Amino acid sequence: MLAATELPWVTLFATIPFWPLLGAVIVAILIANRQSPERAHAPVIGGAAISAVLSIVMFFTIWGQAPAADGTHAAADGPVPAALVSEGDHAGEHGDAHGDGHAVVKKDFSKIGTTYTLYNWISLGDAQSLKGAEGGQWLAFNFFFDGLTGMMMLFVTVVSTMVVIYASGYMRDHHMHPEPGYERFFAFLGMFVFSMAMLVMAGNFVLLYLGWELVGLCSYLLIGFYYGKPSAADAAKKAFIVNRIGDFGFALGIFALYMFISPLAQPGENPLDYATVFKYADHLATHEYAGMSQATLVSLLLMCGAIGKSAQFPLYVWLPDAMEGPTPVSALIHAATMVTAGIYMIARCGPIFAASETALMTVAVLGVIGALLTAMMAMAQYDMKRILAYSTISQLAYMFVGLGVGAPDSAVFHVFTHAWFKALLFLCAGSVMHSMGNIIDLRHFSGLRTVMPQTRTLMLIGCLALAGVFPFSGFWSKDEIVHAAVYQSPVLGGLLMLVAGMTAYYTFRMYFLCFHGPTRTPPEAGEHPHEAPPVMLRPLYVLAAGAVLTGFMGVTFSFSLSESVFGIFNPHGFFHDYLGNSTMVPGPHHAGGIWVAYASLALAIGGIGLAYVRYGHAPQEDPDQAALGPLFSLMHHKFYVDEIYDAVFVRPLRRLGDLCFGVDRGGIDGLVWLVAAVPRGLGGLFRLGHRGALQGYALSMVLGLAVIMMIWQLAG
Amino acid sequence: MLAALSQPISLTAVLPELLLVAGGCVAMLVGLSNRASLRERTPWVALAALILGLVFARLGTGPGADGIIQIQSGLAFDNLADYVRLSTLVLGIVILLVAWLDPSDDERGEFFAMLLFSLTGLMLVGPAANLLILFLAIEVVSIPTYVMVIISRRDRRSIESGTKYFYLGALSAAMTAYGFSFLYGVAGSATLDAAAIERVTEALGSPGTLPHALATIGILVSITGLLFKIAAVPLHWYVADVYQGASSPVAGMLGFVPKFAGVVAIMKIVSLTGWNTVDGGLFWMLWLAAALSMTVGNVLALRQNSIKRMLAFSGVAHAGYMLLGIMAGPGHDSLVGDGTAAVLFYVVVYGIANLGAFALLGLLQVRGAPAETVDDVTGLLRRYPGLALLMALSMLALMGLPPTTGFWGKMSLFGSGLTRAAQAGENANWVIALVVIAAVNSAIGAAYYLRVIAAVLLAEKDETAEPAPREAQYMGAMMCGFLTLVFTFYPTILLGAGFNASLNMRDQAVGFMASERPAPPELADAADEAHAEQAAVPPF
Amino acid sequence: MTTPGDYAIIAVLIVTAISICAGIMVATHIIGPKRHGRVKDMPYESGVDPVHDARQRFNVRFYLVAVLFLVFDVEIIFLYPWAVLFPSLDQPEAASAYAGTVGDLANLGYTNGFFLASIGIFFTLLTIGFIYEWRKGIFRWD
Repeated sequence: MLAATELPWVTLFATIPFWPLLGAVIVAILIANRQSPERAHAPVIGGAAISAVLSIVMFFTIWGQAPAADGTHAAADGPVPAALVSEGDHAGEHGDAHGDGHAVVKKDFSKIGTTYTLYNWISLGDAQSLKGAEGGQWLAFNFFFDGLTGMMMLFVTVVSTMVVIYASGYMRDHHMHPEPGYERFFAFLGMFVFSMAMLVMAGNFVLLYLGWELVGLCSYLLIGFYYGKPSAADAAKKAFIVNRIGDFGFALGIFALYMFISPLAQPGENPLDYATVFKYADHLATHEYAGMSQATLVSLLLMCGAIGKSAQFPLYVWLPDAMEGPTPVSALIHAATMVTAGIYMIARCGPIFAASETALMTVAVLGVIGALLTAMMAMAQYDMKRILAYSTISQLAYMFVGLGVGAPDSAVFHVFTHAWFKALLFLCAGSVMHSMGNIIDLRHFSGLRTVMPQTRTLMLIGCLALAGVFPFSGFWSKDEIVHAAVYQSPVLGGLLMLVAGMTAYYTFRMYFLCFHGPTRTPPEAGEHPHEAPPVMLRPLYVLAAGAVLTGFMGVTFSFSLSESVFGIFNPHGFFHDYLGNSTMVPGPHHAGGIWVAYASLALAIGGIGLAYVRYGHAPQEDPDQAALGPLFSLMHHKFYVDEIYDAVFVRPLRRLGDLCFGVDRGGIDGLVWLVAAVPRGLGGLFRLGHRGALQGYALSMVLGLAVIMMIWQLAG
Repeated sequence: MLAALSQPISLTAVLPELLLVAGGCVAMLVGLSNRASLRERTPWVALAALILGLVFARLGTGPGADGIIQIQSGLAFDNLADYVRLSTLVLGIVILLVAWLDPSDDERGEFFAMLLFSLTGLMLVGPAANLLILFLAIEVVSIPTYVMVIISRRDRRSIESGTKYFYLGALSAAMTAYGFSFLYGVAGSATLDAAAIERVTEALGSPGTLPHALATIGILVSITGLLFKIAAVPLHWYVADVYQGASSPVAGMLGFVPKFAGVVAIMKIVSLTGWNTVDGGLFWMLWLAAALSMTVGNVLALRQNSIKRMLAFSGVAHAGYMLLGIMAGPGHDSLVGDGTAAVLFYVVVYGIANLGAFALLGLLQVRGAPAETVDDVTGLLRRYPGLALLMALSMLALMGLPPTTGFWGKMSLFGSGLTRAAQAGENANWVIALVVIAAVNSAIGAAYYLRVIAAVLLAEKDETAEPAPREAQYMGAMMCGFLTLVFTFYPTILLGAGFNASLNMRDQAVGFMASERPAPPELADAADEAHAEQAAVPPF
Repeated sequence: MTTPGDYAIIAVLIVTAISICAGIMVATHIIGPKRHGRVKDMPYESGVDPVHDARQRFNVRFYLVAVLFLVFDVEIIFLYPWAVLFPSLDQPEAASAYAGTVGDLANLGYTNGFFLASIGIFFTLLTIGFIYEWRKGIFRWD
């Protein structure tokens, strides 16, 4: 019950982001010294592993600091921790705006989390900070530690470490020689992990933004790793630019926050620190700006950033193209880093979003649209990685819905489980690709269960988890979101269930096409296609264990048929208690409704069954193509969204750009030329005075004095 | 007055300065030794003196130690003196390192003695509280620099440029002395105290009278003379020839030591007007000198191919920015409100970056001769990435790219200018115009700095300059880079120190500015304490 | 407030001065008789026939001697008053006879030890200068 304001070993934990960076720097020095790239993976793996170990320690340390069990969701029937004050109980009496029983659990944010300041970075210009005195306002370089940080860091660092280990095997040719650019790749990977860790651990919005942009930069560098390939270079640019569109809103959101919060912040409170912002979140809810509440404005702007980074409708288009990067990068982007950032940010800013019904609703609606749309697209793809990419967007959309319906802990739970099984799926796809000689099109091979038995088993685990089959992790987390959505709005819940069925269908369509049917391999795979090397397989087992087991983190055992799945598993457990000690603001928990779990399980199994019937023998001709006809073609071409964007935004903008270029060439360049030429001309003129003659200089000095005296006369 | 000049001197108050003088004498004698091995130790003597000085300056009697400003024999040891003394000693060490192997064997003694004497003079400009002492201190800064320019290189050009520098410096010193004599006449005493300020402001406040004319002439002529020290228009003529004639380390030193002395001296003279810088002749003089210095400096720098001449002219432009800060004056308790703090910050960070650039120029050799033109440093990145990055860092800081030191400096300077505009009455638009001119000039300035950066980092060349095997100079260049980085990421240490240093000037400006700004309560307390501290000391 | 008109008088003065100068020169040129001869065109040098060009070079050591003389001359200027005052400095009563200057100093607590130290420092500095000159070989006339 203690307020978690002092975290033991916090100084040690503050070093977590810097280990991978150190690894990257060492690799960079190796490159600079033209060393052989053979061992370039070692420093980065080492750095990531140290971070992972420290993160695990941190995870348990924060657990020890957390408010007692029965945290957030126990408001109705358990003792209320000191840090939590439920307003929901009194909603009726106040008749307040939250309405419809949407009780908001109010937390005392001054008692949650530890802010650890490495140093005061930039003075905000007040006299106290200028003098270095107490009570100054700073833009601090600080980290924030609470349950959310611990949870995120746990999977970010561990999954990243697995991916980096895998990459040390993947980024080699058949003779195990490193590919060209091997060392560059690992330097970028180290920086990527560092950026993501900075993003998660940041203690204020500017540092968050810094990590946010660094992640964007690293993704650009990694997606464009094969920069000689035009499609890779284009994909990298697309990812960066689309992200920038969202980041623009995000930056505006931070500006708005500063504008609203800085007048309120007392001396000694840094206006952009999480602790300060969340302390004054109530103020944002009750004050208006530009016709809406300040909370709504800020939330919507911040949401723009999340949409870009987490690849949500309508800014999801970059993610499928990001497949152009090497597969470990895709795994990293899709599972541990990058796309989870948007979800994390919205969860982190719970107090702001919870203060705005509008923003929450927007988040939920965008999520459902994205989930449905991308699930349909995934059903008509042949590229394994693309299918997985669309499934990622679809799953992220689930998380958005979870955030929007007041179940951020469920959303983070899904982020957590998703990280393991999606990394597993991607790396399995990578193994297949590696073995098939970089061919990933499902029409070119089938029946690989004999060729790659281990990969096949691992892939099956991942697919079951993604499809949401009991008892794999995806089942638990996805079910929670659906459950919360059903109580928020039956339409939302119904659509999500439909998507759950579609997910199972397209996942297993991919699985059957790949591993079932007659064994066929493309000529690129060579005479004897083989299983992946152990260095690639071992991390996959770790991830597979995560995909199976992590779901149970959110489960307790209670023997009640009406409350528990199969009368045993009560879907609220350790995970939710752990996250109770965080800045997230979950809505009320709705007991019961176990039928939702059964229903979505039935849909998942139904989807798998349908996929088996249609694709179990890996047919050469796609039965769906014949059955759906033009709709299939529409789905295959991703509803022509890319083309629409191209026509509506890109081309007009390009034409505007051409126009601007013309104006620039004709008008501005001329002006610039003038600006350059006039000083040059003047310089030539003034230089006449600098001939080096002493007498001339002395005379000029005295004349200068005379001019000054004249000015005095004229001015006086 | 004699009695005031001659109160018993506590020699401990000037111990760091005395140590430097003693070190200079020893260095001179060691440099004359018959044994070559002993002669080579000369710079070590100077280094020891500087480090000892730094130690005693910290242990010693500045206001930081006992909280009391010591006023003795025309010296007032306030926060400003402390700031000047510490930055001089630290930069002095860097200058010494950069110039370590600069003089020839038989002139080492003179060279380092002159360096120490010049630094001593600078350290005395800070506490000077008397026109005579101020003048003497400035001359103690200047005269050794004339000698250093001449003996820094063994060719005719250095002799020519040193001679020019000497004659023109003498002319400017004459102007300064002439102006000081008028001020002495108006104030009735050479002491720069509250009474003098009262008399001068009173004289300035009554146009049409003889004292008014005398006071104005005194202020204008003495500041004009001091413009020579900071190399501002119209007394900038010497600068390119002298920089080019001197060796690179000495040129780097000229960008800091005389500039710092000149800036502090100008502040002390402007203080006499009670910082009423926004009207009358003083306003127009500062305005024109600032605007012309920026424009002429930048425009001339654009045309140079020699980096030394380019940096010389850019120094003129930087002097213009500093004059903008002086016009803004002290008086606002915030980052962008205190012009004097901004100037004190800027002159130091400019000095560091400038010195860093010159140190690298001196270090790099092209076919046995020191690098000088842009072409000489082209393509450095390939061969010597460390040196190239240091060069780029110095140039970026000079250019004022965020978030380098130059940016923080310019931000504070321009910000304080805008703050001052609010109080400038009818001249407000002119002040704003000056800030705009400064901003435009920063953009013009970026052009020639970027040229060097592009040449160093982007261009390719088969035959690049080679660094001479001079560890000390290398270390000096590294220290410049290091200090620039420190103040880039932690500008508040130095800005805060500058802010404290301008405390006294803020009090002198009270009549013109304080009424317009309600101080926050806790600040008012701090100011009261400062007043109390000063009241505890008998008037000098 | 002065107006540009106030300066008209200066312009008048300048014009007058220039015209008088020019007028006299022109007048002498016109009026004066012009008779040339070898002796008349010779430069005047105190009645002595000039032997060669006056712009000959002098040895740089002349300047050094001049500067050295100056230095030691100034030294005497400092030393003399000090020597005269020194005996009375430890007797404040006697010193007070020197109204306002030495008496004040004595009353302020300066002792003759202080004055001795001061002149000692002065001498030390001079000696260092002297050693410097010696070592630099300024006194050698090769």
